[in-house]
Amino acid sequence: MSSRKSDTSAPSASADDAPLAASTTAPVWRQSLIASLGANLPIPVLLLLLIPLSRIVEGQAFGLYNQRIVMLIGFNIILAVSLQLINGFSGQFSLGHAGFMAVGAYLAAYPAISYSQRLTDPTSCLLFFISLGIVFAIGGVILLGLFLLIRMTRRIHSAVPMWLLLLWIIWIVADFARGSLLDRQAWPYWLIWTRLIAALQSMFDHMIAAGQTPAANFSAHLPVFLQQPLSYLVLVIGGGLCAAVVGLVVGMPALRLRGDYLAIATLGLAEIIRIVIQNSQPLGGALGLTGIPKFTDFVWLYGAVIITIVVIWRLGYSAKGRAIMAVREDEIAAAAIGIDTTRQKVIAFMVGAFFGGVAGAMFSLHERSITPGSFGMAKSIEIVVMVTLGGLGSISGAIAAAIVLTLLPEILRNVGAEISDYRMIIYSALLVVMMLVRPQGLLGGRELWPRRFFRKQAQPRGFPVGGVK
Amino acid sequence: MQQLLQQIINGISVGSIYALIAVGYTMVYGVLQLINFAHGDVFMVGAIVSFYAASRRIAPTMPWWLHVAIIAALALGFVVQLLIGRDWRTALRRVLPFIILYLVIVPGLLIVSAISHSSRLGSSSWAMAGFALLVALLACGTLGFTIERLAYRPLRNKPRINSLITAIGISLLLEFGGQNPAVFGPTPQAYPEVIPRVTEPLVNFHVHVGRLLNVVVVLTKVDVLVIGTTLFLMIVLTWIVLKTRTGLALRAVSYRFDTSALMGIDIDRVVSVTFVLGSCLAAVAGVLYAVKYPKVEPLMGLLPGIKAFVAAVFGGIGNIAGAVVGALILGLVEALVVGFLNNGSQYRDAVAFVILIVILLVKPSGLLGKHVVEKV
Amino acid sequence: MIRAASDPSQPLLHVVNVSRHFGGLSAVSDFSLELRRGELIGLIGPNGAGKTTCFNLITGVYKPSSGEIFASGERIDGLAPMQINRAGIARTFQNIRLFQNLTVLDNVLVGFNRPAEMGLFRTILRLPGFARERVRAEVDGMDLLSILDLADHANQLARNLPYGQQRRLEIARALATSPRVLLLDEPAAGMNPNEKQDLMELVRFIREKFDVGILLIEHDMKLVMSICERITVLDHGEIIAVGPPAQVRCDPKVVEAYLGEPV
Repeated sequence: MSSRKSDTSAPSASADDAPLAASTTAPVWRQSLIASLGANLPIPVLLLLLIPLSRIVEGQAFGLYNQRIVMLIGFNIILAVSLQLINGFSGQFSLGHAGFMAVGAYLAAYPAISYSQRLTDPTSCLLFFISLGIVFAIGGVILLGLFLLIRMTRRIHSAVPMWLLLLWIIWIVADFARGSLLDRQAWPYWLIWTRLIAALQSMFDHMIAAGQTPAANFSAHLPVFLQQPLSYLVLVIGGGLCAAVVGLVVGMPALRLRGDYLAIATLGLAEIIRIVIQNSQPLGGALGLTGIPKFTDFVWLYGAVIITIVVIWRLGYSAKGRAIMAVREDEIAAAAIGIDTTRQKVIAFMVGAFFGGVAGAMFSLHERSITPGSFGMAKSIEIVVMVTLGGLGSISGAIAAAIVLTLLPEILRNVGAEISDYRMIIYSALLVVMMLVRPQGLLGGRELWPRRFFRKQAQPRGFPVGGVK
Repeated sequence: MQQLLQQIINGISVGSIYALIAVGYTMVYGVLQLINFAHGDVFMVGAIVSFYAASRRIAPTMPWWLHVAIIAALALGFVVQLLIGRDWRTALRRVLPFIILYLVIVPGLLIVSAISHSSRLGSSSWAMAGFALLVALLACGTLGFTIERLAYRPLRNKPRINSLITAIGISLLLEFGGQNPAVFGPTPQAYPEVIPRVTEPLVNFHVHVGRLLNVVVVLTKVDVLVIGTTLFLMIVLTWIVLKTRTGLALRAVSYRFDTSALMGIDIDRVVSVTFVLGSCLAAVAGVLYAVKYPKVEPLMGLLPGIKAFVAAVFGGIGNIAGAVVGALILGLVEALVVGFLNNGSQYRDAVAFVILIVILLVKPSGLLGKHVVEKV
Repeated sequence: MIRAASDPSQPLLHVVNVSRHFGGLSAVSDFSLELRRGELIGLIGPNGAGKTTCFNLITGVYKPSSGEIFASGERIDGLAPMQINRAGIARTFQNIRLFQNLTVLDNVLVGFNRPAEMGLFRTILRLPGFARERVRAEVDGMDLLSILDLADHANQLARNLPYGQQRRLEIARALATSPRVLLLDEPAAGMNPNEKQDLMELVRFIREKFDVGILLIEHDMKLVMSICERITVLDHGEIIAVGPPAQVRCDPKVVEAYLGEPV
């Protein structure tokens, strides 16, 4: 159905030529290539510019305190811009961004501590993520299959799935309650879920045990100068992907909810993530993880900042972004013109979650130690304040707000105010006043610089119709 | 078995407190379609104010800067009203309720302070408990009224998400404001024992069913108090909603907001009454909660607030009976998880969120709610 | 232009005995309709007759309780609105549902919804071809806007357009999805007689130019009579008359439905 549609231009097939070809004589493919390179080349240049900048930031004169603030700003920019995609562009108000950050942070820190001595073993980290992926895929397929089966019962009566689901949850809870009290040998036959988890756990352990030696050997053969950066990349991207997967799992069902319900659900999910981490022994419980190798420096962080901004900008201001925004504006109308609304929402959610996870991973590899407390509701709200204050739907607004709101408390502290007592009070008051006075935020969906900087406004080809009123 | 019965009683008791809060959520939602996120913090304010009253720490006067701030705010409000083009009469009428409130609070504080310091109350007596409750009711009623007037009313015709963000902002403002050392401070403080020997057993049920069951179940004084108060308040509330004119107006507004305005119902008044009623119930809940778990802190409203919200959604938001049923079920499930799951107390707080997410996914309209379809 | 030729013997839209009830209320019962290539059919009836419900049933906003709907021979009842649109049916809404905070041009571009332009990696990495697709889409969009006389407002926000132009923009957006069938829900509502006349010219023009079948809901009898080949009259969710304007006008049941029972 869609293929038929893809190459037809709406107004007329007779005008099928490339408007570009009209201006010059170069073949179309070469023009496309030049356009593509022209768009992408500035990025490596920008990244290279970071290196001389880092000399300044990491130099003696700049000071550790200032350096720390600069780093903090970097993390906040990534978080705010990625949340802007979710809250501003797709209009799905999420209050749980710190949850994604936590997933990224913990799932990068854990292998960094356990499998990769001083970040020298990228292959083992990769092995960790792959094993984790396989195990969760198996568990996920089982749960999803059962869930779909339960959902099918709604043909009998609309209330049946709810009660079945409730029973299922009670079963799982009872299962865990018994399983945790008894010895493994004494498990009665109905403890399926405890068994399943134990099986998956041992499967994971086996995969790691079997793969670790070859993986470590493989890493040892890698050039030394590549070992650390590669490990770091694997950890950061792996952490981001895990967050994206959590985003998908959370998003698929949650995105069916209407505005304010979704906000509460995401808040709840982030809290669940935090509580689960807090109660998980391998992840250090309430005390958190310590002894995480530090690797994130100015260049890595701001490289990620640039890439985040570029990706989200491109996504936001393209056909994809238009579809995402259309769903925000009017879901019914969007569906009526053939947009897959769920898909747009999930994509926005996943991409946002991915960068949230990346920020978390980089954060954990910068701080040396993390606790679940750093990823609580206060953090989520802080990011929401940045996004709202900057203006929903404005990337530059989110960046500006992230910078200002990170700097503001520091400046006030230097002035002498006992700001730590007032910081969150100011944030919350700002939120209220902002909503009352200027609900669209400082920039209100606009950008600081024009959206089309190099491109000209398209002109109609002038239809041979003379025009109708 | 004895543990099961004991947990059930405990669950009902906790559930009753959630019910008192949940009713406030659900009433506001019914009238304004707004999730009043700050409701849990009104509950907290109730507990803390009653704590100050019960421990005789209510100052007779406000600090001077608060006077200045309030007067400045009133003047500013008046000027803003003039600036946006209202004539001075209308502007005055808008600000008047707050001027009256201020003029009442100043001598009110004196009286309350004087009473709290009088020795006739006794430090651990029913009179003291009643006094603390009364102060909490007054404070929360005022707070609820003010929040609605200042933060929600201006946004009534704006997108709903704006009001939600404002509500979250107010909630945080109360929480972090309370954590400020000048107000309360972040450290929890022990709630005085206003009612003597409140946690001691009142009744020992001897449950005896043949040979099968032979256990003793303890019902403490505080459980009886909590369950009894809730039951009483629910009856009062039902009477208000079903039998009074205000209740009729409330039902009409929650059924059709715009139409009821056309029918001559003063919507603003109904909304204010709803907020005051809900806040008073939250105040009672706050005092009961503090009596049951004798500790107060600025963040104490967070979890009970969210759980009550979950209960309201679970029962079908906008439906008062639903909120009560949802709250009781939630309380029970929580108590059972704590009682029967290995280190279940750590997972107690996750229970509510799991229920919330499941109910939102499977039946967003809740147990007793109605499904609403968007009109095209 | 439009789509790969479908079986010309099949009607573009074929609705067979569709009913829908909400609880005990029967909103539409036994609604049938056949729309062939190039036809312009009017759907009229008093307020609350179930006209918009019919549109909602055809476009999948509501699922029919019974009956079948075919688009060019393909069965579409029970599909999601998105799939139905992709099967070649586009609509406008009675209460305008534009993407208020997008520009006029963007409103149309969203309608193109071309897979070539939408790839995630293509978009993020700006692969070769992305820019070309984008420019092509924008030019196509401007063309469409100029046909509907909206090209001058291309960069305004949709919500800032005057009412009549918003209606036209909705039509443009629907046309952007290259439909075979266009459902117009009271496109002339709230317009003055002159504007209405212009709009009807436009509808006629669109039918020629885009080779679409049009189903039109309209209150103004005179208007409908003047441009539609056939008219279906609904009352209380049931069809009470079908046929050419002249015949429908004289139908006693139609007169009764509009003017009430003869005394």
